[in-house]
Amino acid sequence: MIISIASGKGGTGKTTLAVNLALSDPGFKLLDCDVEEPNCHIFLDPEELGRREVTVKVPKIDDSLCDYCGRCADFCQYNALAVSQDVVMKFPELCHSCGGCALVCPKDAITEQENRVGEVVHARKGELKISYGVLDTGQAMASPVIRQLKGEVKGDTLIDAPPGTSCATIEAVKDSDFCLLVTEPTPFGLYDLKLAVKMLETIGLDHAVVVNRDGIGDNKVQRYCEKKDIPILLRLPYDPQIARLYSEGIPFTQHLHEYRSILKNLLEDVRRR
Amino acid sequence: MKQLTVVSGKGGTGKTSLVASFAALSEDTVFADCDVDAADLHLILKPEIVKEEEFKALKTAELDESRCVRCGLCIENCRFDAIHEFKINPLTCEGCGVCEYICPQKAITMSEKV
Repeated sequence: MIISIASGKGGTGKTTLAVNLALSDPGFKLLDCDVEEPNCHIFLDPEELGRREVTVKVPKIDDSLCDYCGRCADFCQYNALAVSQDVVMKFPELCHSCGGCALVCPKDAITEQENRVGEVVHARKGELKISYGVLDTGQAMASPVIRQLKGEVKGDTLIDAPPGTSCATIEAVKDSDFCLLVTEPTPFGLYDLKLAVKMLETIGLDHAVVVNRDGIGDNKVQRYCEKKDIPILLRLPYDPQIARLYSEGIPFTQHLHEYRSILKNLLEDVRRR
Repeated sequence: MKQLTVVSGKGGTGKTSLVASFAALSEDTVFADCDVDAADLHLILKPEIVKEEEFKALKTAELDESRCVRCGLCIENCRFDAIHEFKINPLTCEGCGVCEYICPQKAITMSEKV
């Protein structure tokens, strides 16, 4: 079973929930797909088992064959190539690796070469296995790193997704069996929750809500969930103990043991759905 | 000072709150909420909407089944695994145009999406 943890808004507690869920049931592997800013390993300080480079294909131009006709640049939807009278300029960070430039080149002057965009790290903390992706600084394409990360892990998995509703989030949550949406009971939490729900409805993924920092704000998230018939499976209280452990980088289930069975039950609940 | 950008690596650190506070203090400054995934600044400032425009960026492939002869070239050449059983998934299509180029039947066209 693959359960993804997502949210429209940043900083609602995806990583906190994902890490504590994984610690409550180490039968699940933890996959940190927030490759722009992976944070799960900071909570866990795991022992590293290995890392693998992530590369994507980008065009390589043979200057001896190129006659600067410009068809490659005309074809490229991402402006990753520009051709002037006697120069082809490449912008590999814009390239989506579609291979179109090589297809359209009438002189067969374009081949493809691998370009590094990040890496995937495999690690463990006791029984718990964790893998996370790291997008290199300055790179724009998170999806290839997420794709490789998801491809290397099998079995029961918890996915910590990047915030928002863009390509990277969709790449992280698609193919999951269920998605937990973490939100907070504030106008911002509600507005961004609605966007995230719309995204999940579009891709047809079953979902439920976890309310974090319950007790602050208002009850509009609850009213929205009732109206949309979205179950709220867990409320994590606005609790200074949880906040303090978070601020020290400690997963709260390590000290507040009563939450372990609550979180384990949450996973069982999702499994039955 | 001409232009000031407010950025953070981590989500939920308070970018929007800080910018909204600047807005409360300024008179003739333009504020741009570039968090287009989940823009929240308008929830605080509650502005009157002056103009809305559609934004069209990348294109999406569309397949005309009446022209398709199911040769499979599009599926073979799509790097994004966006075509299954001769149906294009608009969510995984990245709009590159390779399928339109490769199709011998001209059954695929690219159209702009909002």
